[in-house]
Amino acid sequence: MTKRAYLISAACVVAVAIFVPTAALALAHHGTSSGPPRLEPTQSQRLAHAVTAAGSVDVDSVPNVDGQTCIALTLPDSPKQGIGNGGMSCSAAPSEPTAAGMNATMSWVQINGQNVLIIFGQVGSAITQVRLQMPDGSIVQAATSHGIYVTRLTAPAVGVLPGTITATGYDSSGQPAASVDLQKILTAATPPPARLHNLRT
Amino acid sequence: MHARASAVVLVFAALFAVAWWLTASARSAEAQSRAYGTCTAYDPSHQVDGNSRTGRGGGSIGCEGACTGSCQYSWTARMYNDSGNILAQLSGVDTYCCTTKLTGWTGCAGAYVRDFIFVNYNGVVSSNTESISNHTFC
Repeated sequence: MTKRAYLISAACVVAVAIFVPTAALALAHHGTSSGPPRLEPTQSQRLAHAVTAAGSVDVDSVPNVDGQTCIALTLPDSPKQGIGNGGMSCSAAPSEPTAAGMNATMSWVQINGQNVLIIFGQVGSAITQVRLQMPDGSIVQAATSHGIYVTRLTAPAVGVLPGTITATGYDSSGQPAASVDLQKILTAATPPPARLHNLRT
Repeated sequence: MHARASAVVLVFAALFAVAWWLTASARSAEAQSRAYGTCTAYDPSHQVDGNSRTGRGGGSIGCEGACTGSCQYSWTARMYNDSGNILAQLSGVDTYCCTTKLTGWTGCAGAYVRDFIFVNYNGVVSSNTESISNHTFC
Protein backbone atom coordinates (compact mmCIF):
# COMPACT_ATOMS: atom_id res chain seq x y z
CA MET A 1 0.00 0.00 0.00
CA THR A 2 1.24 3.50 -0.78
CA LYS A 3 1.57 6.23 1.78
CA ARG A 4 -1.38 7.93 0.12
CA ALA A 5 -3.59 4.90 0.56
CA TYR A 6 -2.61 4.69 4.22
CA LEU A 7 -3.54 8.33 4.68
CA ILE A 8 -6.89 7.82 3.00
CA SER A 9 -7.59 4.77 5.16
CA ALA A 10 -6.71 6.71 8.29
CA ALA A 11 -9.01 9.54 7.18
CA CYS A 12 -11.82 7.02 6.71
CA VAL A 13 -11.34 5.63 10.21
CA VAL A 14 -11.41 9.11 11.69
CA ALA A 15 -14.46 10.06 9.63
CA VAL A 16 -16.36 6.95 10.71
CA ALA A 17 -15.36 7.54 14.32
CA ILE A 18 -16.82 11.04 14.12
CA PHE A 19 -19.89 10.68 11.93
CA VAL A 20 -21.40 7.42 13.12
CA PRO A 21 -21.59 8.48 16.78
CA THR A 22 -22.90 11.87 15.66
CA ALA A 23 -25.66 10.22 13.69
CA ALA A 24 -26.47 7.90 16.56
CA LEU A 25 -26.72 10.87 18.90
CA ALA A 26 -28.97 12.63 16.43
CA LEU A 27 -31.32 9.69 16.51
CA ALA A 28 -31.39 9.58 20.27
CA HIS A 29 -33.99 11.47 22.23
CA HIS A 30 -32.84 15.05 22.42
CA GLY A 31 -32.48 16.76 25.74
CA THR A 32 -31.84 13.61 27.68
CA SER A 33 -29.56 13.79 30.66
CA SER A 34 -29.14 11.70 33.72
CA GLY A 35 -28.33 12.35 37.31
CA PRO A 36 -29.46 15.13 39.57
CA PRO A 37 -28.52 18.71 38.65
CA ARG A 38 -25.18 19.75 40.11
CA LEU A 39 -25.85 23.14 41.62
CA GLU A 40 -23.47 26.04 42.02
CA PRO A 41 -24.90 27.39 45.30
CA THR A 42 -22.33 30.16 45.62
CA GLN A 43 -24.03 31.86 42.66
CA SER A 44 -27.56 31.57 44.02
CA GLN A 45 -29.93 34.52 44.13
CA ARG A 46 -32.66 34.82 46.74
CA LEU A 47 -36.02 35.37 45.04
CA ALA A 48 -38.47 35.09 47.89
CA HIS A 49 -38.64 34.17 51.56
CA ALA A 50 -41.79 33.26 53.44
CA VAL A 51 -42.39 32.80 57.14
CA THR A 52 -45.72 31.23 58.04
CA ALA A 53 -47.31 29.45 60.97
CA ALA A 54 -46.27 26.17 59.30
CA GLY A 55 -42.62 27.20 59.03
CA SER A 56 -40.44 29.08 56.62
CA VAL A 57 -39.24 28.51 53.08
CA ASP A 58 -36.79 30.19 50.73
CA VAL A 59 -36.92 30.33 46.95
CA ASP A 60 -33.61 30.77 45.17
CA SER A 61 -32.45 30.88 41.60
CA VAL A 62 -29.37 28.70 41.32
CA PRO A 63 -27.31 27.90 38.22
CA ASN A 64 -26.08 24.38 37.70
CA VAL A 65 -22.93 23.20 36.00
CA ASP A 66 -24.90 22.26 32.86
CA GLY A 67 -25.80 25.89 32.23
CA GLN A 68 -29.35 25.54 33.42
CA THR A 69 -31.13 27.66 35.99
CA CYS A 70 -32.79 25.91 38.89
CA ILE A 71 -35.59 27.34 40.99
CA ALA A 72 -34.86 25.77 44.35
CA LEU A 73 -36.98 25.56 47.49
CA THR A 74 -35.14 25.37 50.78
CA LEU A 75 -36.66 24.32 54.10
CA PRO A 76 -34.52 25.17 57.15
CA ASP A 77 -36.07 22.43 59.29
CA SER A 78 -35.52 19.56 56.84
CA PRO A 79 -33.34 16.74 58.18
CA LYS A 80 -31.47 16.89 54.86
CA GLN A 81 -29.80 20.26 54.84
CA GLY A 82 -28.90 22.10 51.68
CA ILE A 83 -30.25 24.41 49.06
CA GLY A 84 -33.13 22.84 47.13
CA ASN A 85 -34.03 20.39 49.89
CA GLY A 86 -37.68 21.34 49.41
CA GLY A 87 -37.65 20.51 45.69
CA MET A 88 -36.41 22.14 42.53
CA SER A 89 -37.05 22.62 38.86
CA CYS A 90 -34.22 23.18 36.39
CA SER A 91 -34.30 24.27 32.77
CA ALA A 92 -32.26 26.16 30.22
CA ALA A 93 -34.61 29.12 30.54
CA PRO A 94 -36.87 30.08 33.39
CA SER A 95 -40.49 29.10 33.09
CA GLU A 96 -42.85 32.00 32.59
CA PRO A 97 -46.30 32.72 33.90
CA THR A 98 -48.90 30.95 31.82
CA ALA A 99 -51.46 32.75 29.71
CA ALA A 100 -53.42 33.22 32.93
CA GLY A 101 -50.67 35.57 34.16
CA MET A 102 -49.35 33.27 36.86
CA ASN A 103 -48.50 29.63 37.32
CA ALA A 104 -48.18 27.35 40.32
CA THR A 105 -46.00 24.55 41.59
CA MET A 106 -46.75 22.46 44.66
CA SER A 107 -44.16 20.53 46.64
CA TRP A 108 -45.01 18.02 49.35
CA VAL A 109 -42.49 16.47 51.72
CA GLN A 110 -42.67 14.79 55.09
CA ILE A 111 -40.67 16.41 57.87
CA ASN A 112 -40.81 14.92 61.36
CA GLY A 113 -44.11 13.22 60.55
CA GLN A 114 -45.70 16.41 59.21
CA ASN A 115 -46.91 16.73 55.64
CA VAL A 116 -45.41 19.98 54.45
CA LEU A 117 -46.86 21.71 51.40
CA ILE A 118 -45.03 24.50 49.61
CA ILE A 119 -46.96 26.50 47.04
CA PHE A 120 -45.03 28.80 44.76
CA GLY A 121 -45.08 30.12 41.25
CA GLN A 122 -44.15 32.80 38.76
CA VAL A 123 -46.26 35.90 38.24
CA GLY A 124 -46.31 38.58 35.57
CA SER A 125 -44.57 41.87 36.23
CA ALA A 126 -47.88 43.65 36.87
CA ILE A 127 -48.60 41.47 39.89
CA THR A 128 -47.20 42.79 43.14
CA GLN A 129 -48.90 40.56 45.66
CA VAL A 130 -50.53 37.14 45.78
CA ARG A 131 -53.16 35.90 48.19
CA LEU A 132 -54.43 32.38 48.60
CA GLN A 133 -58.05 31.77 49.47
CA MET A 134 -58.12 28.71 51.71
CA PRO A 135 -60.90 26.11 51.95
CA ASP A 136 -62.18 27.61 55.19
CA GLY A 137 -62.47 31.04 53.58
CA SER A 138 -59.40 32.46 55.22
CA ILE A 139 -56.81 34.37 53.23
CA VAL A 140 -53.11 33.56 53.27
CA GLN A 141 -50.79 36.28 52.06
CA ALA A 142 -47.95 34.75 50.05
CA ALA A 143 -44.49 36.29 50.07
CA THR A 144 -44.08 37.91 46.65
CA SER A 145 -40.88 39.31 45.17
CA HIS A 146 -38.77 39.03 42.02
CA GLY A 147 -41.79 37.70 40.13
CA ILE A 148 -42.14 34.76 42.53
CA TYR A 149 -44.73 34.03 45.17
CA VAL A 150 -44.39 31.37 47.86
CA THR A 151 -46.04 30.16 51.00
CA ARG A 152 -45.82 27.14 53.27
CA LEU A 153 -48.76 25.16 54.61
CA THR A 154 -49.53 21.78 56.11
CA ALA A 155 -51.35 19.16 54.05
CA PRO A 156 -53.54 16.20 54.99
CA ALA A 157 -51.32 13.87 52.95
CA VAL A 158 -48.56 14.01 50.39
CA GLY A 159 -50.04 14.84 47.01
CA VAL A 160 -53.28 16.12 48.53
CA LEU A 161 -54.39 19.72 48.98
CA PRO A 162 -56.22 20.67 52.16
CA GLY A 163 -59.18 21.63 49.95
CA THR A 164 -59.91 24.06 47.18
CA ILE A 165 -57.27 26.76 47.12
CA THR A 166 -57.31 29.69 44.72
CA ALA A 167 -54.21 31.82 44.29
CA THR A 168 -54.97 35.33 43.09
CA GLY A 169 -52.44 37.88 41.95
CA TYR A 170 -53.11 41.59 42.51
CA ASP A 171 -51.59 44.57 40.76
CA SER A 172 -50.19 47.65 42.48
CA SER A 173 -53.64 49.24 42.66
CA GLY A 174 -54.99 46.22 44.51
CA GLN A 175 -57.02 44.91 41.63
CA PRO A 176 -57.03 41.17 40.88
CA ALA A 177 -54.98 40.57 37.75
CA ALA A 178 -54.77 36.77 37.56
CA SER A 179 -55.78 33.68 39.46
CA VAL A 180 -55.22 29.94 39.40
CA ASP A 181 -57.21 27.08 40.89
CA LEU A 182 -54.61 24.82 42.48
CA GLN A 183 -56.88 21.78 42.50
CA LYS A 184 -57.39 22.11 38.75
CA ILE A 185 -53.64 22.31 38.23
CA LEU A 186 -53.09 19.31 40.46
CA THR A 187 -55.76 17.28 38.69
CA ALA A 188 -54.21 17.99 35.30
CA ALA A 189 -50.72 17.30 36.64
CA THR A 190 -51.41 13.90 38.18
CA PRO A 191 -52.24 10.57 36.58
CA PRO A 192 -55.71 9.04 36.83
CA PRO A 193 -56.28 6.58 39.69
CA ALA A 194 -55.95 3.56 37.38
CA ARG A 195 -52.42 4.56 36.52
CA LEU A 196 -51.69 5.05 40.19
CA HIS A 197 -53.00 1.58 40.91
CA ASN A 198 -50.56 0.17 38.40
CA LEU A 199 -47.70 1.53 40.47
CA ARG A 200 -48.53 -0.94 43.22
CA THR A 201 -48.12 -3.99 41.04
CA MET B 1 -2.76 0.98 -5.82
CA HIS B 2 -4.99 3.57 -7.40
CA ALA B 3 -7.84 1.04 -7.56
CA ARG B 4 -7.44 0.22 -3.86
CA ALA B 5 -7.38 3.90 -2.96
CA SER B 6 -10.50 4.46 -5.01
CA ALA B 7 -12.23 1.62 -3.21
CA VAL B 8 -11.33 3.12 0.12
CA VAL B 9 -12.69 6.47 -0.98
CA LEU B 10 -15.89 4.80 -2.14
CA VAL B 11 -16.31 3.07 1.22
CA PHE B 12 -15.74 6.38 2.95
CA ALA B 13 -18.30 8.07 0.72
CA ALA B 14 -20.84 5.35 1.42
CA LEU B 15 -20.33 5.61 5.17
CA PHE B 16 -20.63 9.38 4.97
CA ALA B 17 -23.86 9.05 2.99
CA VAL B 18 -25.32 6.67 5.57
CA ALA B 19 -24.38 9.00 8.41
CA TRP B 20 -25.84 11.97 6.55
CA TRP B 21 -29.05 10.05 5.84
CA LEU B 22 -29.41 9.06 9.50
CA THR B 23 -28.90 12.66 10.60
CA ALA B 24 -31.31 14.00 8.00
CA SER B 25 -33.93 11.44 9.02
CA ALA B 26 -33.61 12.45 12.63
CA ARG B 27 -34.04 16.11 11.74
CA SER B 28 -37.04 15.32 9.58
CA ALA B 29 -38.66 13.32 12.38
CA GLU B 30 -38.05 16.18 14.80
CA ALA B 31 -39.51 18.69 12.37
CA GLN B 32 -42.61 16.55 11.95
CA SER B 33 -43.00 16.10 15.69
CA ARG B 34 -43.07 19.86 16.17
CA ALA B 35 -46.47 19.81 14.63
CA TYR B 36 -47.58 17.36 17.31
CA GLY B 37 -45.81 19.06 20.17
CA THR B 38 -45.63 15.96 22.30
CA CYS B 39 -44.01 15.96 25.72
CA THR B 40 -42.37 12.92 27.25
CA ALA B 41 -41.54 12.01 30.84
CA TYR B 42 -38.28 10.14 31.19
CA ASP B 43 -35.35 9.30 33.44
CA PRO B 44 -37.23 8.67 36.69
CA SER B 45 -34.64 8.29 39.41
CA HIS B 46 -34.21 8.80 43.10
CA GLN B 47 -31.56 9.38 45.71
CA VAL B 48 -31.40 8.20 49.29
CA ASP B 49 -29.31 9.74 52.06
CA GLY B 50 -28.52 7.11 54.66
CA ASN B 51 -27.49 9.62 57.31
CA SER B 52 -30.71 11.60 57.41
CA ARG B 53 -32.87 8.63 56.28
CA THR B 54 -34.37 10.83 53.63
CA GLY B 55 -34.76 10.53 49.89
CA ARG B 56 -35.90 12.45 46.89
CA GLY B 57 -37.24 11.54 43.50
CA GLY B 58 -37.07 13.22 40.18
CA GLY B 59 -37.06 12.95 36.46
CA SER B 60 -37.02 14.91 33.26
CA ILE B 61 -39.57 16.18 30.80
CA GLY B 62 -38.71 16.63 27.16
CA CYS B 63 -40.92 18.17 24.52
CA GLU B 64 -40.39 17.57 20.81
CA GLY B 65 -39.92 20.70 18.78
CA ALA B 66 -39.64 24.32 19.74
CA CYS B 67 -42.29 25.94 21.86
CA THR B 68 -44.30 28.43 19.86
CA GLY B 69 -47.51 29.92 21.15
CA SER B 70 -49.09 28.24 24.14
CA CYS B 71 -46.94 25.38 25.36
CA GLN B 72 -48.41 24.94 28.78
CA TYR B 73 -48.00 21.47 30.22
CA SER B 74 -48.73 19.91 33.61
CA TRP B 75 -46.41 17.50 35.35
CA THR B 76 -45.70 15.53 38.51
CA ALA B 77 -42.61 13.89 39.98
CA ARG B 78 -43.07 11.46 42.86
CA MET B 79 -41.07 9.32 45.17
CA TYR B 80 -43.07 6.48 46.64
CA ASN B 81 -42.54 3.27 48.53
CA ASP B 82 -43.15 -0.26 47.31
CA SER B 83 -46.65 -0.22 48.81
CA GLY B 84 -47.55 2.67 46.51
CA ASN B 85 -47.64 5.33 49.20
CA ILE B 86 -46.43 8.70 47.98
CA LEU B 87 -43.63 10.05 50.15
CA ALA B 88 -42.81 13.21 48.21
CA GLN B 89 -44.39 14.95 45.28
CA LEU B 90 -43.70 17.95 43.11
CA SER B 91 -46.50 19.02 40.73
CA GLY B 92 -47.17 22.03 38.63
CA VAL B 93 -47.69 23.70 35.34
CA ASP B 94 -44.91 25.05 33.15
CA THR B 95 -44.37 26.73 29.83
CA TYR B 96 -40.70 26.05 29.13
CA CYS B 97 -39.33 22.65 28.15
CA CYS B 98 -37.10 20.69 28.65
CA THR B 99 -36.84 20.56 32.40
CA THR B 100 -35.56 18.44 35.25
CA LYS B 101 -37.76 18.06 38.30
CA LEU B 102 -36.68 16.99 41.76
CA THR B 103 -38.96 16.51 44.73
CA GLY B 104 -37.84 17.73 48.11
CA TRP B 105 -35.96 15.45 50.46
CA THR B 106 -38.50 13.55 52.51
CA GLY B 107 -38.46 11.13 55.40
CA CYS B 108 -38.39 7.55 54.12
CA ALA B 109 -36.81 5.48 56.91
CA GLY B 110 -37.52 1.77 56.53
CA ALA B 111 -39.02 1.99 53.05
CA TYR B 112 -37.93 0.74 49.68
CA VAL B 113 -38.36 3.72 47.39
CA ARG B 114 -38.46 4.49 43.70
CA ASP B 115 -39.72 7.21 41.42
CA PHE B 116 -42.42 8.20 38.99
CA ILE B 117 -42.60 11.05 36.50
CA PHE B 118 -45.71 12.16 34.59
CA VAL B 119 -46.52 14.87 32.07
CA ASN B 120 -49.82 15.97 30.55
CA TYR B 121 -49.63 18.10 27.44
CA ASN B 122 -53.00 19.06 25.99
CA GLY B 123 -54.50 15.83 27.29
CA VAL B 124 -51.76 13.61 25.90
CA VAL B 125 -50.02 12.01 28.83
CA SER B 126 -46.67 10.35 29.23
CA SER B 127 -45.40 8.64 32.34
CA ASN B 128 -42.35 6.71 33.36
CA THR B 129 -41.93 4.57 36.45
CA GLU B 130 -38.57 3.57 37.82
CA SER B 131 -38.10 -0.17 37.69
CA ILE B 132 -38.65 -2.01 40.95
CA SER B 133 -35.19 -3.48 40.49
CA ASN B 134 -33.88 0.04 41.07
CA HIS B 135 -35.67 0.52 44.36
CA THR B 136 -33.46 1.48 47.30
CA PHE B 137 -33.83 0.85 51.00
CA CYS B 138 -33.98 4.06 52.93
